[in-house]
Parts: sequence; structure tokens; C-alpha cells
Amino acid sequence: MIELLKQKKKRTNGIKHCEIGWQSKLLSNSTYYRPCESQVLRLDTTIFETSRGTRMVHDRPDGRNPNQLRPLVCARGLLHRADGSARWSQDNTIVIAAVYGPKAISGRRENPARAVLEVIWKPKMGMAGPSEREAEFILKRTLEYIVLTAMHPNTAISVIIQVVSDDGGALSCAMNAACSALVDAGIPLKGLIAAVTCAVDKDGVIYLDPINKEEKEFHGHACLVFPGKPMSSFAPAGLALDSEPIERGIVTSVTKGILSAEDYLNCLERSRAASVKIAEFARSSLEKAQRGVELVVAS
Amino acid sequence: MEVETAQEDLKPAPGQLASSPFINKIVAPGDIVLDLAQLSIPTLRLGGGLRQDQDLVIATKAGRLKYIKPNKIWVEGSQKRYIPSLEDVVIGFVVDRRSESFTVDIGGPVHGSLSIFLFEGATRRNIPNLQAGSVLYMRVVKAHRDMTPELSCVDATGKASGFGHLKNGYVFQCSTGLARALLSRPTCPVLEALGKSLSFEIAVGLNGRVWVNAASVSTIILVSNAIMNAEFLSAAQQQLMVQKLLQRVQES
Repeated sequence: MIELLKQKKKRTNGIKHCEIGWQSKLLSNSTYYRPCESQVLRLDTTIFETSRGTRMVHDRPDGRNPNQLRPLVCARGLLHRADGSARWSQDNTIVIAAVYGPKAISGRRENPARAVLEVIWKPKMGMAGPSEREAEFILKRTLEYIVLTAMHPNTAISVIIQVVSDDGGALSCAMNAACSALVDAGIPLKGLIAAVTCAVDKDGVIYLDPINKEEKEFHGHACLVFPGKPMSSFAPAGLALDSEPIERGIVTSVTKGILSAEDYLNCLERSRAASVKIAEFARSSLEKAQRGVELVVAS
Repeated sequence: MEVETAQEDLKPAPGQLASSPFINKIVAPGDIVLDLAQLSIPTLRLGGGLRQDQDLVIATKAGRLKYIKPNKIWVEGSQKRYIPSLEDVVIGFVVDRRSESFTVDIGGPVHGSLSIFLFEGATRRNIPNLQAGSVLYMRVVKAHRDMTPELSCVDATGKASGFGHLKNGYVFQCSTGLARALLSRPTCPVLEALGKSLSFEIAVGLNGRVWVNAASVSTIILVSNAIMNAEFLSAAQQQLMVQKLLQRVQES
């Protein structure tokens, strides 16, 4: 058992503010569209002291607290041709994910046992280079964890990520968007994921959901992806791996810059709490989208 | 699969399907829907969107959890891409003709194959004359994830009963949820409203394709647009929408 540093915390938790935006699920020649609600979420703040003493918390350029996420907006089913699509925005970081599949695949790429997952990352400007390839690889490995590829052998599932605007945290935004798009496409999934980015400055203070400026200035930042907690009304005999419940696990961790071990563990703890909120938001957005689709069936 | 909600008992007995708190609620992938150890049903039939992990039944798709007494349970959601499953009725386009079968595009991951003998009255000498691009109304007779799906233009007794070549008309794409709603009983409100004032023929495939035929092209266009627009509307809204469309056509 890893020993975490003791921290004295005063925490006021809870969703402080919820705004409703609009999403539309459009058919190409339809004049009637169903406005679905996309939710916007802000977290409350935490004042804390680390064992290194009370730390000066830098003022963030956009006035957030270190523990505050940017407002989230999720819209599903926005692309007409894609089998599934989602746009995930965290304020100025906006990513659209499109999923095509399962579709036929030819030649040596096909796998007779499972579906082949391919990810294409399209940056906002310019050609895709090595950093885009790296992001594609990370996303592919993460999504391979949740997609039940054995259910569709000899097929390909393509996930295309288009960065509309990048103000920090594009990778975690893309993870969330890709997960929502996969759900929208009806591809069988093992579960859902929630991704968070956090940055650490040289004093060890952790800032959640950094913007581009903060990512560049601060010592190091990490993108962490956690499995979403499954809903279950039954007493968790739940899903467990080595007797630890599944929601204590981590799917992907991408770190850049300099992070000490204790900084990293603090990041883990803080991001895990934030990922719970993101997972809840993604789930309620999913339910709203489902209810919008069901009007015909219910009639 | 027809849209059907079973009668709900006032107090579902524990151990029965109805006692699961997720019944008729929206589930997300990964949700643990049932604990088999707590059920008292001897056999359980899992439909689409559910998988079994030892003692647990877990959802793999987002949708509403439905059940039919006593032991059928499934997740109903709407997708654009069709995954072939047994006994579905589908609309397909002929892509190619091989020596003993037609290759048909049914909108799934792979093309299906339709044996030339699975038509009413088909013999070696009497092969149906279908070109590439012909529209067929078929049912799925074999659908397994590892094999190409097999289709048939006859029902189980060997009669055509509505299956076969659909001549003329117009085919458009919709989602699988809308296709299910169009095929459900009681009749979908948009079809009822259209049927009161227009005469047209319609065939709906569960793969999200709808074939419409009528005497005049404007009727075909009207019917297609009405159905496509109806996807996210409630019953009352659908009827209103059809009325408005008919008015506009009559005025012009």
C-alpha cells in the first residue's frame, strides 16, 4: 500500500453551477431537430496545505481555482455521415471525434479474432507529425481497453479526432470525445472512461485542467485516464481486479515535464476525484441523448 | 425486435427479471444490470447489448433496458450502422452475382450472400434475373460474427410472403431505432397520418433502410421527407408535421 502524504484540507464539494446549452441531432434534410441539452459543469474549490507548508497558489489567468475544471459541454450525434460522433469542449479546447465502424477491412490488416481499431488525429492547422502519431498511439491503446473488439472479428473501427481549437488538455478532451462517440455509434464497450489533465508547478501545487499557457509555464503536467464507475444496484461483488474495485484503477497515464514522485501521487488523487465528476457528467449527457432519440419509440 | 414493454406487476417478486432496478431505465456501457446469483429464473435469454461476465450481466451499449416475461432481456438503442442478427427483415442492394449466390449489401460490416435457390419457385433453370443495384426485401437466416451473413427471399415455409425484388420506388436511410418504430404495433403515428390522405407502398428494413413507392414522384418525396423528419418527434408532433407538409403540397 502506497503511503500518501498527509494533507490538511478544507473542502467544500458539490456542483456549484449548472448551465444548459443546446445540441442538435440533425438529419441532412430535416427541418425538425431535437434540441438536446448539453450540460455544463463547474467544480467548487479547495484550499489546502501540503506538508511542504502553506503554498502560494498562483492566480490562474482565467481566474479559476486550482481545483476547478473548465466548463464542460458535450454534444452527440452531430455528424451526419459518421456512425457515431461527439464534440467535447472544455471552454476553449474543443475536439470532435467521429467513429466509423465496424466496417469491412481488407488485406493483411485484418485480424480474424478481433476488430482492428485505428485512430487518426487531425490537428487544427498543418500536417500531422510525430506528436500527432504519438497521440494516436496513446488513444488507440486506451480505446482498446474499453472496446470489446472480439465481438466484431475481421472488421475495422476507425476513430477520427479533429482538433477544432486547442487551449491545453487536448489529449484528455479527445479521450472523452472518443468515448462519447463510441457510445453514440453503438460499438460494444466494456465500460466508460474519463480523462483529466493536471499540471504541477515547482512548489508542488496541482492545477487541474490547465490551459496552454499554464502547461508551458509549469514544471510538468499529466494526462490521466480512469475507468468510469459502473452503476450497479447490487452490492459490489462488483467488478474487481485483484480484490481492488475497478474504479480504483487507472487506464492511461501520460506525463510530460518534471514531476517528483509525490507530485505524481498527488496528481493521481486529485485527478481521480475530478474524473468522477467528469464521468457523471458524461453519463447524464448520454442519458439525455438517449431520451431524445426515444421519442418516436415511446409514441 | 418489436417494441414491447411487458405488463408490470405491482410488486415484482424478488428474483424475477422485473425486480431489477434498471428495467426500463437507460443504461450505459459497463453498468451491471443483473446478478445471476440473485435470480430465480432457470434460464435467461440475453438479447442485444448485454454480455455475461461469470455471475454478472453487464450492458455493452447505451440504451433502454427492456424485458419480456419470463426470461428475455435486452438493451434497446438506436444506431446508424446495422449489425446483422437472426430473423431480421432487411432491405439490400444486389452488388454482384456469383455462380450460386448473389452478393448483397445490407449495410452491415460485410456484404451478405443470398442463395439463388431461396426465391419462391426457383430452380436451376429459373434463376431470378437480378442486376447489380436491384432492391431486395429479405430476411436474415444466418448471422454470426465470424461468418458472412446469409439471407433468404422466402419465409420458413418456402413462400415469398412479401420478400423478394422491390421494383421502382425510392430507398432512403434512417437509423435502426426509427426502423424499429416504423415496424412496431400499434402503427407509428407518422405512417397512420400519411396513410389517411395518401396512398403509397412502403417496406421497412431493420437495417435502417426504407423503400417507398407511390403513383407520383411528389407523393414519394413527401412520404420520405415525413418519415425522415419524424425521428425525434412525439406522436402529436408527428401528426402536426404531416398536416403541415400536406397543406404545403396542396397549396402549391
